[in-house]
Amino acid sequence: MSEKAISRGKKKSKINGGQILGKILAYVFLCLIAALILIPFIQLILNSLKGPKEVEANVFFPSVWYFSNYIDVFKETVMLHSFLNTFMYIIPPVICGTFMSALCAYGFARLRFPGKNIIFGAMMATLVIPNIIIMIPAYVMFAKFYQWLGTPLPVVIPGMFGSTVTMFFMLQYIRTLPTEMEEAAMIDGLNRLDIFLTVVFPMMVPAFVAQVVLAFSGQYNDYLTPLLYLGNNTDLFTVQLAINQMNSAYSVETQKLLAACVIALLPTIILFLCAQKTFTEGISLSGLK
Amino acid sequence: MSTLNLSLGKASRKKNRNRRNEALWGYACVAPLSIGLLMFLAAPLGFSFYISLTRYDLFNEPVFVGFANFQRIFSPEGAEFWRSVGNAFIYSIGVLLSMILSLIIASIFRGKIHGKNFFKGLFFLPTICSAVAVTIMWKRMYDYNYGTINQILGLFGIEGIYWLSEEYVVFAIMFMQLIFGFGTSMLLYISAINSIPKDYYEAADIDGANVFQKFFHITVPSVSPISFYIMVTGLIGSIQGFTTYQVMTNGSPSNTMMPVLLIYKYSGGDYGAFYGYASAMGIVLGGIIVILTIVEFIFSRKWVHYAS
Amino acid sequence: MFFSLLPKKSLAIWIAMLGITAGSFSYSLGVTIAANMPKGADNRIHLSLAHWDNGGSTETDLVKEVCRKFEEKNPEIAVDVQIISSYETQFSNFMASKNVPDVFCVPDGNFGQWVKTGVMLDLQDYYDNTTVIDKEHIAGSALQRYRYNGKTMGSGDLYCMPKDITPYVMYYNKDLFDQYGVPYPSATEIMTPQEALEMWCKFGYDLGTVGIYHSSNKYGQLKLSDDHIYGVAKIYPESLIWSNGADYLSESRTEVLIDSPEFIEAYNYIVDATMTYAVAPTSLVLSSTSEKTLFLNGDAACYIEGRSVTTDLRKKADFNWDIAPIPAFPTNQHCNGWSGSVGYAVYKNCAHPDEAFKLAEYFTSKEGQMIMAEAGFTAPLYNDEQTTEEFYAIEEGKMPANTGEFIRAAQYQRPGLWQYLPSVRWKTTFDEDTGAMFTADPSARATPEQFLPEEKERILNIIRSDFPELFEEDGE
Repeated sequence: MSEKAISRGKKKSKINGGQILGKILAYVFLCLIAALILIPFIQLILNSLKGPKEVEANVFFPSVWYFSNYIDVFKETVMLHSFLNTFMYIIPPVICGTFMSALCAYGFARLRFPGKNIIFGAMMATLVIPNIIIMIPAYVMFAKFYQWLGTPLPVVIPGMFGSTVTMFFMLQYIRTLPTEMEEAAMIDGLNRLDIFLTVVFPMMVPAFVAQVVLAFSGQYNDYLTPLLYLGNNTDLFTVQLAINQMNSAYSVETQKLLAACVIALLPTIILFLCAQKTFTEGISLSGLK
Repeated sequence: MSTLNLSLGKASRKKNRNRRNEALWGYACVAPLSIGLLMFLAAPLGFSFYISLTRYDLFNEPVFVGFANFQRIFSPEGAEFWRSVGNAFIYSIGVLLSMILSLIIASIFRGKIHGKNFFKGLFFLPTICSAVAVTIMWKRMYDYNYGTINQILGLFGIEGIYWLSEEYVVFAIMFMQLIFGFGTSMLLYISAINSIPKDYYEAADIDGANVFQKFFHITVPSVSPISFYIMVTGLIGSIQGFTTYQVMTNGSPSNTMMPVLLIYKYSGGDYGAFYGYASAMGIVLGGIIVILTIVEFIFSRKWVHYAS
Repeated sequence: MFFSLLPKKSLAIWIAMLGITAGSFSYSLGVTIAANMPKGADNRIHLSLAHWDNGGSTETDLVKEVCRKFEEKNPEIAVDVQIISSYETQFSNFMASKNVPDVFCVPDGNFGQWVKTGVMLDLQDYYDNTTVIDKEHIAGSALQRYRYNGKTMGSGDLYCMPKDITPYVMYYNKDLFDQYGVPYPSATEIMTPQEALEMWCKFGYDLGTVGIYHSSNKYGQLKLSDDHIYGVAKIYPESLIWSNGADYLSESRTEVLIDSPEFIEAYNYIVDATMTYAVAPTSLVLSSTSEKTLFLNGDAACYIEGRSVTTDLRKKADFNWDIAPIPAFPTNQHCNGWSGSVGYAVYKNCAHPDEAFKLAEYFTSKEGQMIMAEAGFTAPLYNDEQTTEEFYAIEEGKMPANTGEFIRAAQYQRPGLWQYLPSVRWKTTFDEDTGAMFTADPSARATPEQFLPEEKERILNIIRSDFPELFEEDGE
């Protein structure tokens, strides 16, 4: 789309003073916003590399760089273990859940079965139900009925069934796909599951990857659910719980807390740098109805 | 949705068996998500109505108390709940601000901008960052003694401000959420603006329209459906806000006490174990959200039709 | 089948995806199974002990150390220590799951809430029959806070064995006292609030210049001269209210007593000290800077805090310091603060209650107490001469010099306000509302005489709606 913009810009060859001023204003504005975003990050990184005295005194630039803060975080806190936990908890819901959503979307998009519209309508209706209503009863059910408290299961299992939102995006995507290959596969005598797995799903890979990436960052950053279910056991902590615990525990030194924050921010930032397009397109897709 | 179902014609030509087979596969495909929703959404939803009628501390058997929990919410004792709902609405003003900001930025991106992708990436980056880490980071920025913001103010000879005190905390949190939260709506606006037919703008150029006229007469009406979407999701997100508030102030001063935080405090937290009352608050809050969604949806129907 | 239809490359991707998902899922399953498995296959009796990590690794290491000593003494018992984070808010949820540890730590603030759930074993009979504990010399205030009579706390049967008491004392910065030429406070005599105010006022200006503000200090609060620092990092209302013979709530917790003349007198003092004399920071200052930071930075001459901060001060303070009793009104001067405490409860459905009690009482016994006192974290629960001397010997040569104050304070100080009722909402609301008496603008400020009687009804309503049962049973 940037190409379009460029070609548009070239077409309008007459440039007047007002436009130049507008351009300058636009750049100033963008740089201002960029600065507002960057300053907290820069401040965070600088502070995480200071010694204890300089953090308290808040000199802007550390005179001695304490890279050891980062090593100390891993040595002195549950950070490392919580990283392992986090990845182990979020992979099943992210991969399995997205797959299940895609499967369901395929069913709605390509298959006919009685009651389809009712089921679809009911699923769409669940989008209206705010999470807040089920937060407490779900907690009570996991505690009393499933007996899953003190285990990671309440965080892992519900997501493995997929989510309506992901399903809806997948559905929109499938509808844009051509059906010729599926018809050919039908004539070859493949069953529906095989068609989905070998014909439809490969075409859906971009959407699948996008949803996995989005789901990953969403789950990685989730705080309330792990807090409710895993908050009582350090061994089960996710990264988010670990840094918040350091934030509230008075025994952790500020510079190490901030180093832990930098570490906690890294996975999603790296993911974003690798898959920026996926993120931006995924979001754009979500808004187009 | 069946318009694209091209196998329809074929299936009707063949036997019933094929159709039954297709139906079975259809059920199999939608079964996992349906089961998941039943177990982890419908069941707790039904259950919520039961426990909201009880006094329950999770350990002793629930005591049925009728509508006492709801009565409490609607009595003067429920003032703190309504206050927290009011707070949520105040913070949702930030959603409007972020809509304006992201629409402006998206319109700037419509033109030729050097480093467009860099800016776009940078602006979106905070929205995928851990809310806990980001909040800790900003808490540090707002610190009275050690905070960067007060230091910068100090350079201009302005005396420091207690950003997290009752007077300023609303502004502080809103600002943080604005700067670190507009990325999503910006992207939505960018794709919406890109899908506006180019000849609209070209026609306007021929008519000699200036930037502002184009903005208000073409861009704003054209993106109204997406504005509606951002508003609904933003408002609901704001009402369900939790992490930022818990990490930043944990509900004190009281104008940072958000509904979800209050519910959390009543369910085994600082305010004791009152799961029935917490659940009742959840239901009332959920009801508010549902009503808001429906009302805005009806409004948007008109709006969207008017636009297209 | 579909696998045969796939090219090799995508087959590999499918298998990898499946493997990763299954692998990580089995991790969670493994954690779950491990959590539900009985620990240890030997023929020793296995007890689980849940403990918080609020005291940092200093405390958790210590608890593990005591457990090791206990295992040495009782080779037939093995103790598995589980450290639980955010303990106070999380353990109530833990209780709802079926795996309640055999022995678990109970902060006195949570005792009321938890004992009501019926999860704790009544230890009164065990305590009556034990010979390990010197019942004559144990601090009564330690036991009292773990008693429950089925309705209110503070009397009735014993439900926890106290592990420690963290008495509150006034730490002071000797270097600052020297610098300003202020005589040190007495090591044993409890100052009156007036004497304390005069002492605190000496850090920066004399009483004659009251009300003539110079400029703001670096915390944004008005100060009275260039070298004016806070006399004290925070004044705790409780110590003044209790020592003045007043209280927040009645014994039955059904009456709010915050409008008594003594209560008002105490608050008048605090408002004066904070707003007129500026010897203590306002709550606004404290919202961004902790009392400890003020003290460590040399911005406050005195600092009222519990014993547990001693370990930290020994590590971090780069000045000389000592402790003194907290100033209090003479009426009831020994009630000059609260003390925090942690006890150990035994799970009601525990499989080995006798052994579990043995473990709990080991922490309370003199042997356990001395192990913990040696680490500098707590003061012993006993006040007999031998223990005191041993404690003095341990503390010899370390700051603070006035060790005895810890033992004296532990003897009399009572549990904090968090023990009054199972939830502290009434207290948090009250604290927040008191801001009305401390506004920066004097014309907008409510006096305690105006504010407290008005607030009374609000607090009562909170208690009434959180604990209707207190009021119901009253009527019968």
